[in-house]
Amino acid sequence: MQTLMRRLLLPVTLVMAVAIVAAHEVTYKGTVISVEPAKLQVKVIDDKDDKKTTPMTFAITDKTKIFRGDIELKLADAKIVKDERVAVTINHDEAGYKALEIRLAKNR
Amino acid sequence: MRRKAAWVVGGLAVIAVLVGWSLHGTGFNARNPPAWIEGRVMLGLRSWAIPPPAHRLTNPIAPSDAAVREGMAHWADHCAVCHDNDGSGNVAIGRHLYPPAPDMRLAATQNLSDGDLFYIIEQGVPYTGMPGWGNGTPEGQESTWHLVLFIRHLPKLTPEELKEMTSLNPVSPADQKRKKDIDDFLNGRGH
Repeated sequence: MQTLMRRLLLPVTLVMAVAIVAAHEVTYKGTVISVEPAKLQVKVIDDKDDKKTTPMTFAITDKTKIFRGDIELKLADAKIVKDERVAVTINHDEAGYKALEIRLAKNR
Repeated sequence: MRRKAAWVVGGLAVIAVLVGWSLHGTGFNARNPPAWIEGRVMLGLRSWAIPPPAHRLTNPIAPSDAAVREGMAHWADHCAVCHDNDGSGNVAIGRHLYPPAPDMRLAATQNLSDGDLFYIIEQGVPYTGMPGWGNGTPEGQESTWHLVLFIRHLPKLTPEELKEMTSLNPVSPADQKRKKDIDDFLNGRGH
């Protein structure tokens, strides 16, 4: 009985987990306008019309993960430059556009 | 004396009923982390409840690179979804649990005994997001002891190990597509 419950509960938990991720995290793609120790300004490209862009500012916190390729780096080591492509994931439900994850190309 | 005790018990019961009544319909949420005092009380109760023989258990598996790597692979496959590869808990599910998944690199976890860690993994922690993973088999217990070794290694994880763990994390089709979209964009193969 216990094994059956476990078998039933694990998929339910995983589905809920995926739902949490899908419901709360949003990724913005664009190019870097500027970067400072606590904020990143990005010219965000519209999902439906890639000619349309909107400048957005994302907060960089101590919880922000920064990846160049698959390697996680500190902000200073990532050497982010103006106009390079960037993908920023935020928690949709939190105020302040706090970046959870900043992804950059392996090679600029 | 008995009469005095009855008054005290009666008084406490009335207070409990009044407190209970005052909470009726006030709502709840698991969006914010528990208050400091709630966290301390619950952690204290957890430590108090672990049976002393379990607390005193020591890891029967000798620390070695191979043993740590076995725990690392298991962690990346099963635990990282809530605890993150580095044990920080800084992932969507870990952050949204009540209480949030702890940063296991810190003293609050590292100061637990090997037996405490083993007991928590095997039995889980009621009223938290931590399931009990024990299945009572020697193989299952051996896997848990490997995890205990890996938890001790968390504060010393290297960037190379983290990269390797990323390749071992289970990825859903939706996440695979999301990552491909991002990679294509970053590498100039799409907008």
